[in-house]
Amino acid sequence: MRKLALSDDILMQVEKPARYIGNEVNSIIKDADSVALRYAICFPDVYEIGMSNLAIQILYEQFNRRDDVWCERVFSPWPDLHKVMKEKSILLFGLESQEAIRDFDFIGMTMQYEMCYTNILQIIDLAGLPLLAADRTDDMPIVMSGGPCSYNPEPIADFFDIIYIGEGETSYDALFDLYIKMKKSGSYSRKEFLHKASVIPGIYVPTLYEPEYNADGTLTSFKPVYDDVPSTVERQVVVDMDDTAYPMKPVVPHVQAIQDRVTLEIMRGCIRGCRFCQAGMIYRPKRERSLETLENYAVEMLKNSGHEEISLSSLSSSDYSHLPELLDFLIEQCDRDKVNISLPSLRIDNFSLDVMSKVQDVRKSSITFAPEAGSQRMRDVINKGLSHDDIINGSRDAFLGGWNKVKLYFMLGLPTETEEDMRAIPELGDEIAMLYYDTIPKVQRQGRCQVTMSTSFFVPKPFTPFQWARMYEKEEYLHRAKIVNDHMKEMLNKKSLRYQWHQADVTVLEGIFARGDRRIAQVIMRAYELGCFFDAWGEYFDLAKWEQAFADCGVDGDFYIMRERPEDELFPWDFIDCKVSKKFLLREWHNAKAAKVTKNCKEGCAGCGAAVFKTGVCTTH
Amino acid sequence: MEGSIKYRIKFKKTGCMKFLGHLDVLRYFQKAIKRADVPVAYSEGFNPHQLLSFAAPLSVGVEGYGEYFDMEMMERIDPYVLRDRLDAVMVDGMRVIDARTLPEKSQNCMASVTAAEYRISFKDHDFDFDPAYSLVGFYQYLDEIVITKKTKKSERQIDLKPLVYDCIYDKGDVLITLPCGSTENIKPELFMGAFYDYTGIDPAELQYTLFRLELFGGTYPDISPL
Repeated sequence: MRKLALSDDILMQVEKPARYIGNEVNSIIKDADSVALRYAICFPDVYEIGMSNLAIQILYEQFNRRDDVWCERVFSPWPDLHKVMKEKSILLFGLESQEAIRDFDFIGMTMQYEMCYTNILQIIDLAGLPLLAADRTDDMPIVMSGGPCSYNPEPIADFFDIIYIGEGETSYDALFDLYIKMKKSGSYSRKEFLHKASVIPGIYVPTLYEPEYNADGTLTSFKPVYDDVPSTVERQVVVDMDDTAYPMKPVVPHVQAIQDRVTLEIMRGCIRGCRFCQAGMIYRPKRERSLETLENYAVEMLKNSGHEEISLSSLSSSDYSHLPELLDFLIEQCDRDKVNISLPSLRIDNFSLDVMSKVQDVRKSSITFAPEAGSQRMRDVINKGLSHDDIINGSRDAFLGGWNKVKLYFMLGLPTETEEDMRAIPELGDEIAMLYYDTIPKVQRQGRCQVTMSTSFFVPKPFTPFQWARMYEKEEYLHRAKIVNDHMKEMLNKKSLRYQWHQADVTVLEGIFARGDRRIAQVIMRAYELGCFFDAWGEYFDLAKWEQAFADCGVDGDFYIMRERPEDELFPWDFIDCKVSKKFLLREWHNAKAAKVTKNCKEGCAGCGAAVFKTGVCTTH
Repeated sequence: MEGSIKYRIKFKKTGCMKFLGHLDVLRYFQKAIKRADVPVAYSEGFNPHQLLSFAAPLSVGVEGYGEYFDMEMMERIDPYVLRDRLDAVMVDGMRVIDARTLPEKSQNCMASVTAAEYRISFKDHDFDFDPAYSLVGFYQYLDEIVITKKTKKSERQIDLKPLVYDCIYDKGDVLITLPCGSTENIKPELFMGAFYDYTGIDPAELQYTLFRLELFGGTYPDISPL
């Protein structure tokens, strides 16, 4: 049996020790001496969160398919163990081998949200490595990252040797081959390897680029330091979704994961073109997996994992061409094998209501709309293709189908938002509640209907038409939430309405990280020194420490978020060729300001640029 | 469930798997049973669950060598086949060691368990005596071992002496059998606490490892493995 990295005594004094033992069903053990490259794939949050992430599972499968590579998993030790590891100088280890990742060849992290940035430093720190890439030496692993936050990697660029831009399926083999070849031939040096890696498509080596700034703080230029390093890094995209690695034998977590189930990724990308949505832009074009592939995946994954639930993953499942056939297949399979089907947010119509009534208890479940904005004007600004009629008709059908709970998701702080737009949120909720009482006769009602409205505060993201937009002070966000809340109390059906809003502290910080530049890195380092980590967890987020970190570093966070950016400003992320052009995004920014709707990809091509990949919706419509 | 057949499964939970909590073990077996593709019976409703009943939960950090759960099956299956199919889908540290059919009207194992046998194994220490001998002596020569048992609601004084069913020396370790289950439940840590209190030994200087060896049903002294 493997020797654990942590002693029994330590494991007995920390919460949920099974987070740290590995040994899960389908985890992969190899002979360390027989592989040429050891990779630690890391999700910088706690085990239960990280194990729910599909990217980790896909790359784990993809890397381990190679005989010469052994990929192990690493997650953030919870603060209780963190303390013990610091006190006793225990190095962070891979779950499979239980050996220190300090001795691996690569440590790769996925960055799914900005608030994990201090956890990146925790991982590097506990691994026993210098926090800054520039301070690492030849005998240390290459520390790299990828994921949605890498579309503006600049605030964290100083911490990574490599940042992978785009989908992991395409360029990892070339990167590994180069590394192994250089190691075997004895020609490896960190510097030489990184230089050579920088020409591999999608591979960004931050130390090989230098920013220059104008007097006003904006970027003058961002250029490679050598002639042979490409001046732009191209986003990587999988062309054939049926020809990729997929975790047919998913690792089954010991401690219940947030998503304790089989995840079936039915497609990537989205046709909708919502202007606030980064995922809707950076994963273009929409590419589907075939029905046959998905049916095969579902059967195999359920069989190999023993999971009792399966869910579909995509940005907008209703847009999957073969959804009825796929759901028919799953419902039949899952009914026989007693597996639950967890439906993603589907567009509410008769079809989806019918499906939902088959797989869940109508009386207990709720139906969900994401109008994102209360007024039709505002929905046109954000190009959310969901009309007032869609919401009302969908609600009526749901009420007639037996549902009496409706959830509505909105954003506050969107560009051009007026008080009228804010007040439209409870008004929409009230209209839905009214509809219930008008539609369902008193004798058939199961008590009151319940309309729950939630708002989050909008954070502009890179590579969206709103990347030029400004944000607001914390107080302003809370003020807007109060307008919604106060107006809700004036509604006729206020007893059927519920309103929840998010905290604004994190919003502002998230905004700075999302569109910040390299000068933010020192602030993140300072915050970590001050004790910040697990910032995505309310109980550990400490705004005062962050404020101190900004002050200590003399960095003005407002510069990044409190101004509408000029159209000709050079952005820190402009060196990434996302294949969704800045020209298109700017056109969409103008359309937004004019509340002008743009057709979705299926209705008509808007010329975003993603057609160069010659795949998916770009070739079929 | 109507027409279902009950099986009792005996398993071992050792090595690093001792760090799984009771609910995690439950989920582990639910998934293992699915992987083994055996005709387990399910409850009705929108979220059907397997009809399983686990015996006494085992504390995190304690290895179990004679652990049990009952499962209801839709159809009859050779117990050896059932055992082998379940055992084939285990991870290191978990083994399914036995399966047998239960009579139709039998009590489930959670209700059946009345006693548990533990091995207490002392770790390396600096004392110049054999603590296992002392522990057995402590039990044998005292007429009563009164301790305070705290529950969430109350505190009560109880005499452990008649509740210790067996306490014997075994190759430097101590084997102890205690009441376990819903009627009376004495954790071995409670007994050890009384030993440390009586002798004045600092628990930090004389640490021990606990193993649960077997679970029993029946009324003492007439008890037998579940």
